Amino acid sequence: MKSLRRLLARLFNVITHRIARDQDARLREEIADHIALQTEENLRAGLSPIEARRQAMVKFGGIEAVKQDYRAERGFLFFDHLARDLRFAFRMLRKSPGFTCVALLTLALAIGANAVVFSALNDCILRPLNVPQPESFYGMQFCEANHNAQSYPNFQDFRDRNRTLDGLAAYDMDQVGVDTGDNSSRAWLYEVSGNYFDVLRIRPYLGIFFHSPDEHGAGSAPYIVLSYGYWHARFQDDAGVVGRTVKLNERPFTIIGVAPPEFKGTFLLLSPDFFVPMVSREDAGTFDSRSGRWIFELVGHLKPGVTREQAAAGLNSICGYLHET
Amino acid sequence: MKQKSDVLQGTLALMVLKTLDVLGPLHGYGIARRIEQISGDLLAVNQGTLYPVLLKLEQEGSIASDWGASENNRRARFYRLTKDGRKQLRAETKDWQQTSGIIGRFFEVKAEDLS
Repeated sequence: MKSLRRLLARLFNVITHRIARDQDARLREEIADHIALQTEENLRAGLSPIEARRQAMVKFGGIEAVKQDYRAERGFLFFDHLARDLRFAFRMLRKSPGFTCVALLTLALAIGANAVVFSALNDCILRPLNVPQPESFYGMQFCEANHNAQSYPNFQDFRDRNRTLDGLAAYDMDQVGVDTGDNSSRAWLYEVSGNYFDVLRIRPYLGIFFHSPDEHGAGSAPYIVLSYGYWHARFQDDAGVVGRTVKLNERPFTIIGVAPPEFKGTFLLLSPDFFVPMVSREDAGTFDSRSGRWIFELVGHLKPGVTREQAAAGLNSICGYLHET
Repeated sequence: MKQKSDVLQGTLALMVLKTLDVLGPLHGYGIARRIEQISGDLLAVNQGTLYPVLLKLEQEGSIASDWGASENNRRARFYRLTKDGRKQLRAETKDWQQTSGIIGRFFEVKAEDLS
């Protein structure tokens, strides 16, 4: 209790610097008093004025030492010195603004660069994709290295001819203008194959998802599945949005469901605001041409018991077939 | 050196409390003078070491201080014992007497007493 009271008093003294100065003045005054009284006493004892004062000083001892002890008792010298050092550092920095600017810029750039690299690594490597059974989930590059991108007919062949994958889905990313009736804005979407959510084994948070049977060629299945974040931010968690019609690039689409909160797409650097079936694209040409490689990536789960090498071999044989045709 | 001053500080604090208890409010010089008279030469040098002790006691709440007029009508800081200080003095006096009693008995012991 006693030491707690003392601790509080000392902390208080550290914080209130003005009071510290008062206390310094008080100590100075007490010391002066003390020495004056002792001098008077020495004078009464018959010493000469100079000798009386000298002996009073000797008896008191080192004044500076006492002052230092006093300050040490009063607060925490560590903080006093720290504050003094900081003030000194600040003064020196103000004296040489050129150096200060360079130092500040260096620090800012270094911290900024590190933060960027870390957040990129965090997104790409440290955090796994949020899909069920991520251990068997793979993205695929086909035929020619450096080419993730696939044409729609190639995707269909890979999807239908492989025996090693438990379904194969495709997705692409794009920006689109959204008109909800009362305002319009831009948003990021994934254009996905109809089987996307089924291949990923994801269930809707709200409403329903679209499926392969909904696809009926170019311009069909104008459905929207919102991401949870977009639903929360733009529609204030309103469950009534299911069934509502909004316009994407001037074409009407129907909102049919909301994805679960933990699902943020299959490309970690870009989580979409919502998902639409890729077949909702109107130009039929994009679905016929084998040379139009516009699909960003194909993804799927390996079948149970199938290794990566077996899957790769299976897909390579399909590549061989595609090259022949 | 350090240890010696620690011990001195502890005994000095007790002496300050006792002095204020017996004589009532006093200024720093008065306390130093009184302790010097009673203790002989213990405080003859370095009277200044009293002031950090006074501050410590004040922060602990054992003593309090106010400005007042000294005997020759100068402004001086007067220290007085608080209720907590009186309690502390009682406790420490008892401790001190016990300790010095035990130490005293140890010094009296001769080899034949232990056999």
